[in-house]
Amino acid sequence: VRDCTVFAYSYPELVSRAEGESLVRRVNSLYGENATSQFTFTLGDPIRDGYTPRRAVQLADGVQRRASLQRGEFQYQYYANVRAQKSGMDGADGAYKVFVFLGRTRQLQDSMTPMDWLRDPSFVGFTGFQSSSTLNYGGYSGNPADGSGTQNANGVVALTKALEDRMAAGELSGLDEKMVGEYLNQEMSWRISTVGCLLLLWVKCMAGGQKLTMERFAGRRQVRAPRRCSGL
Amino acid sequence: VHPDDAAGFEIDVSYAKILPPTPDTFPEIQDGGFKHLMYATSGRAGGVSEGPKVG
Repeated sequence: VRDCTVFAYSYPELVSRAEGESLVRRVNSLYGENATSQFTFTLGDPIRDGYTPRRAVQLADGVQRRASLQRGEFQYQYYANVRAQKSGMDGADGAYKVFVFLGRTRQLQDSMTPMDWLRDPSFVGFTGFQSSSTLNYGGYSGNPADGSGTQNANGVVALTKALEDRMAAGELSGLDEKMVGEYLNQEMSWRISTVGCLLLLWVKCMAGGQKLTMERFAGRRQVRAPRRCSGL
Repeated sequence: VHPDDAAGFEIDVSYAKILPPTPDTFPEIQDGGFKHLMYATSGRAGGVSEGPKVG
């Protein structure tokens, strides 16, 4: 059925198209690079003094999203892929989030408040997971009888815009895979937090990706456990 | 990081090379789709598969 109006509904891609306007052109105008957001949102509560507002916060005022900074015949898109077992992580029975950062987390210091992380210039994005202990079956975690209790859940954090920002700031000379791979190896870090803001894990690799400093937190109590990452 | 600290957790990076859209064409993924970006998280926590070390 090509004319869906017989079902008394339609789609924004289809209605009010100008004479001669192709469907591809309409889709690009709605969802392409120069598309404007159909809604706005405010990221968290008002920004405290001393914090640099992130671009996402500025965009909440309705500023049009800028076009990609990538020039040339091709562009690159990068994504951080996070996988976690549905059966949950050590100490993370329930929901938890993985926060991804690029560059020095200079405003975070030892903050254990995710709202502070969201405002740090190094913050890129987060993805959430719902997990449950395989011991108490507080939620679905697969059928242990068939071994599916170790099923993975997947999440994605888009990195491209953040990498373009670093390129604009002169921290990256380009976005090809070699440059970005080396940059991420040194500058990418992530934190894992429960919805109750209990910081579970903060991982940050030092120069060259050879040396790892890890800090674990239990509530407000901090336990430092530097380890090397070789062999893992 | 010891596996006990983040059992079952993995993070890595993928990328795609894309021919940008024009007003009358959609973006087109090149070279067969998304690929795993080596180096990006090598040697990191949570059972991340290690690629060749950088540096």
